[in-house]
Amino acid sequence: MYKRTIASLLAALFMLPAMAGAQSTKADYRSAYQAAMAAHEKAVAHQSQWTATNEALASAEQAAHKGDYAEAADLARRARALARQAVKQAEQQDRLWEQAVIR
Amino acid sequence: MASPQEDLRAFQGYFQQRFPDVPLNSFVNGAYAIDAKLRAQWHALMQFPPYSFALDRGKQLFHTAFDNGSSYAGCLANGGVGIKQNYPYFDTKTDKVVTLALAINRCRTENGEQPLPYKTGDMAAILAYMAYTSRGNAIDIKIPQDPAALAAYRAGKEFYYSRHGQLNFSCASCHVQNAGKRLRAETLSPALGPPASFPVYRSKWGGMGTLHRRFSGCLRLIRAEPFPPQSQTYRNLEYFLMYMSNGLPVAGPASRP
Repeated sequence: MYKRTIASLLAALFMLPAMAGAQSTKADYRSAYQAAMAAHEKAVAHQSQWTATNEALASAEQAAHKGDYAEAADLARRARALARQAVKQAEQQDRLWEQAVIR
Repeated sequence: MASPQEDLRAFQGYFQQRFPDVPLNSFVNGAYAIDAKLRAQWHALMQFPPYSFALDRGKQLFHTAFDNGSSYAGCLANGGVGIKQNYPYFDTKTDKVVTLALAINRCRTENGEQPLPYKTGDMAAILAYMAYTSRGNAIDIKIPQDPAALAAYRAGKEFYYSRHGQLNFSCASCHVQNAGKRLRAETLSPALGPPASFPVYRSKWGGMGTLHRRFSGCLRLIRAEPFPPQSQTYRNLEYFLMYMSNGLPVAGPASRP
């Protein structure tokens, strides 16, 4: 019984980092998703949504739903990067579009 | 910034210079106007126009009274016949661009009917019929001396020339800078004229579609998220594009690849 108690305690101790890892990945995903949505909303405000951004966000949600938070966080970070590029595109085009006008 | 009239002269002059063998009015035929082989295929297709069924349906719908006894003729100038060349117009009371599709649905809702979806189906059929009754009429889009109207025109112009989507294309990338060139199997149509031919039966769609359906398709191709049909963005874009085709004949409904 004493050995079983020690074994249980050791097993719990070994599991702790894994559980902490899973929790922090979920927190990572949530943080990454919030950042992605913030960037995406800026792109929407600039009328510059990209389909790739929406796809990445949807894929992130699906991965999170399946419990694959590491993948979900990566996808959310990708969505954020795409949304930021979309915003940059819109800001640049505000200045540059007139160069393309037929004169 | 150039005035709409200056833009119009420059725009039409550009395409006439770029395609000197194409008569001005023929630009409404899009890629068929600039590609002889495509044109031959199109002439063969026009023996039995694929939009015929939609045209018949549109005529029937147009002349069918609403449940309250009113009809489209009661809402629209000249009974709705031969008026497509005047759309879109800028409504200075509501400060918005009014397209013919919007006017059709406004007529429906004012008479207790459900609005029609804007991209295809019965809306495209009714627009096909109204275009048919207007065929040959010179497009006559007006931009009143009104700051809001000019702002709408300029918003459409800016959207047209701005790059969008992950592929970083503008409408002008294909239809101005590369008009006449091939993109995979497609010949890129010039920007001048094709909006005058809508709604169209596209072989790709296997059915009819409106101009706003085409806008959405183009945006998806360049990986930009489309806007809702009849959104302010699309209506302003239509306003700009149709104005650029002023003087050309209404040529809808039409067939396209």
